[in-house]
Amino acid sequence: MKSSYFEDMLDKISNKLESRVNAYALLLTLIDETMIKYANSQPSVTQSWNMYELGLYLIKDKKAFVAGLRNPNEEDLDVFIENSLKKLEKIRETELLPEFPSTKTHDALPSLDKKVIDAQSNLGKLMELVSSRTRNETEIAGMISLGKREIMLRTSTGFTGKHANTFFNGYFRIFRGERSGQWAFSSTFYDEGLVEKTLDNAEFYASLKLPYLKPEEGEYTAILSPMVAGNLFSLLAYMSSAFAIQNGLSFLKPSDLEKEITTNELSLYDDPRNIELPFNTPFDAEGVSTYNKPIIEKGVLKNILHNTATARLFGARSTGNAGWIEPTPWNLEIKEGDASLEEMIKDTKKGVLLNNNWYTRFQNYTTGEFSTVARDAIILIENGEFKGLLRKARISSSYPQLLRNIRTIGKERYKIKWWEVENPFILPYVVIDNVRVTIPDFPS
Amino acid sequence: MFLGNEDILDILYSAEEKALSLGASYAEARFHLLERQGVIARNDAIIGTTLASSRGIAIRVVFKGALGFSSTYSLSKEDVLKAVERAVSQAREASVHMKNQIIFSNEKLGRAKVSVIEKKKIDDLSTEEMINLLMDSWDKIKSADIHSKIPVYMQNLSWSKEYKVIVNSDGGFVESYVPRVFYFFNLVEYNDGNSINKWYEYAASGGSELAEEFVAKGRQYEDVYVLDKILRKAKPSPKGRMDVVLGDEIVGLLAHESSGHPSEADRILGREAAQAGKSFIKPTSIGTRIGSEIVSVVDDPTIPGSNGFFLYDDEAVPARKKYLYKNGVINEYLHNRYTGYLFGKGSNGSARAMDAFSEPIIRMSNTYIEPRDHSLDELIKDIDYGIYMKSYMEWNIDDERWGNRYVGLEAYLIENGEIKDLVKNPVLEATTGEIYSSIDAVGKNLVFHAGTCGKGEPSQGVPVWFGGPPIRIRKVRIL
Repeated sequence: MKSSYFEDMLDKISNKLESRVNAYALLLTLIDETMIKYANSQPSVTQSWNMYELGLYLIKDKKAFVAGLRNPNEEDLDVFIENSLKKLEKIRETELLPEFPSTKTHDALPSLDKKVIDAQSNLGKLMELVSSRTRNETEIAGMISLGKREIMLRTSTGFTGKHANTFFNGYFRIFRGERSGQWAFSSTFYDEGLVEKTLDNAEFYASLKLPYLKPEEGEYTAILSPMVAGNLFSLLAYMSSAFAIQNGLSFLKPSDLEKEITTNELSLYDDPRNIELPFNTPFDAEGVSTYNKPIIEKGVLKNILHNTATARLFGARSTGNAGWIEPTPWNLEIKEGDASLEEMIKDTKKGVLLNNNWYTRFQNYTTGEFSTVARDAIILIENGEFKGLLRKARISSSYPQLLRNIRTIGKERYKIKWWEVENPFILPYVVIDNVRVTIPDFPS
Repeated sequence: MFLGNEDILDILYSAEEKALSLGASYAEARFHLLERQGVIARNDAIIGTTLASSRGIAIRVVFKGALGFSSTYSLSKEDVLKAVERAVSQAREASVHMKNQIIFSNEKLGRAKVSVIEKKKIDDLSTEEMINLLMDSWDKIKSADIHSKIPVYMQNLSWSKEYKVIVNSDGGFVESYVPRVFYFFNLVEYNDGNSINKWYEYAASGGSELAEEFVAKGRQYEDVYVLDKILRKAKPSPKGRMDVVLGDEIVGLLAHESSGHPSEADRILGREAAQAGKSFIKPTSIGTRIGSEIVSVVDDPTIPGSNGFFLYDDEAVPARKKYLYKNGVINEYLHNRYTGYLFGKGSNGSARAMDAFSEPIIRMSNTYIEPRDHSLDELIKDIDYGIYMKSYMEWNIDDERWGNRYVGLEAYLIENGEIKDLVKNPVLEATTGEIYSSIDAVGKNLVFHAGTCGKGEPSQGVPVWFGGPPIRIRKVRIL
């Protein structure tokens, strides 16, 4: 169905709601996506989705109700709206009350690439590219996902928004015997070079001819690849949302604002206006214009992420990060430093370089204590040189501890998104001192 | 609601027919509807009241040995047939690159209707009632006679209804209805500059009667006192090798993480290698000893009232109880029809899809360590010096499911066969082989815990239970 069908649908719903509530927002998301998943060096499944999702945010007498529908038909929709309006009458007042802006329109953020859409119906070229990399001793697993996302927003204050962007994301894990390496990419635009570079980086880490060693566990300098830093710093971005702070899901406090929470090496940005990455948008889910902003700038916490409802509670202004109920980051960015990877390795006396991680879990959200499991290449560094590989290791630390010890930020940046880095993130390698590394003392 | 809906059945059968006419050797069409309603509260404030519904038709085909999946929001026959064409066309493109073709095992497929009958209709749980339950819970929590402050008590109560109709070209036909109730809390306490938090999830299939059980009679009313005591009284944990008793909450997680996941045959074959990883279990590991003789681990989707309940899987294969580890030996993997064919064992009904946008993949259901004969006191009394880890917050495991880490939250020192002081955050790190081989006694009280298990690409979260009795493990490493 064409987008005019959905615009008519939003008009009809708006008319229906106009006299029944004090305020409302309607958010419609259309997704058309194709994915090739790889395992054992062949496509394990090709998948495609054609779906839409309608969100209703209804406000009346200080009561707010959020409803979400995936793929309703028109008949369902009428029943659903009536049902939602009835429920709205019966619930209690909320402390998270939004205030939709009075702006009616928004600027355009062109981020559609026809090549992505064309490639969806001609996957052969991408499949050829991956197949051309298969060799006898190499096992490739991973995925490539591409498609188009379109959002339409209406609010009771007259805002009408429409934005569309394409996405081209993926990751590969390459196995060579018991060794493996993994890398990822994310972009708004079609770029076969990203697929090749991702395969190259994964293969580099899978191909290291180093012996397996089992050093003592303890404190190490950790060189985090963009895959690992992407996981840890996207969690930090989520913990900088007012919702997380207020609900015991963050070690940050409102009083940390404008205080130094890390070394001045680190600048972490929320970048909804970066059209290179696919979580770009000119407006948020409440119709507030988005803007790029530092979460942390040169070590100082500059922004807690807000929607209008959390901003009201905190006595702050919306940062254009709605999310109804819960503000969320968009694209993320760590500003580049000036060190090359070679320099980082050379400057490390006793360290580990971590290619990838997963399973980050918290012991205590309010203190930021956590651990995460390293996977793929875990490289032991001694006196500036690669010495060997570790079979297994964990980082066991806390966010305050990690942040106090950030030493160096790399200069070359990569655009990453995968299972453990949910938001598209452009970032370099990051060096952190005094990171506690635990190593299992049993053979695998 | 839709059960027996002729229009939907007509569309599903048309989809199957279309796929076969386009050259597919296998076709499957699934209508999948999920409805949810919930309330989120923080202390005495309502921060969200939500209603959600997701619906669509999922198509899966095998074309010349390649697997294609397509999902559409539209229930118009025309659009569904387009989705079929898309699935076939993409599988056709992939088929050129297949080195090993995908073939499904022959199975006696179900032709059945399965409905969970609620004691009290799930719809009877109104938003007002949900709010009242949450507010009463906060009143009870805040009036707890403790020294610590409670800055945050976050609660999320919701119910869901899941309807499915599955047809496939091998004769499978299954309609099902499963209602569930879900409840989550996050409790934070502060005392003298220190803080602690515990979150926990209740979920089960059944009717609205479950809401009161979870919210009004849950463990949070004990946890509120326990956290206060840990904050004020817990001593540093001893370190080194020692005997440990794991409480049922950790045992359940252990069964899920280091028995269930590594026994998934798709993982063993590398299909999830770039996401959730591989397995220390290899295709030839059946019959290999993994633990002591007294340990058996079961996955059973047929447990009435369970969170992971189903009687036919999403490939229409009858579900059954499986012994993953039996008397300490690797006994059976979790299979769908693809891995069932490759292993020559057939499927054991373990394919599940989260919703209309998800392909069916191999999943756990309700996974637990089988209970035996010891009371908790008996487990403790044979320990001279060790730790009883009753609950946890932090855990993780490597992507071959070999290196485990569990960090105790409510944990006690054991001295001379008696439970003594609370200890702070003991960290157990050990391999799966080490833990299962070191179990020398298994408790008798089986308790289940609820979770949402993640796997696949795009990631699918499916409802599961995991459980067990307390167990005793000898001489493991505490960091």
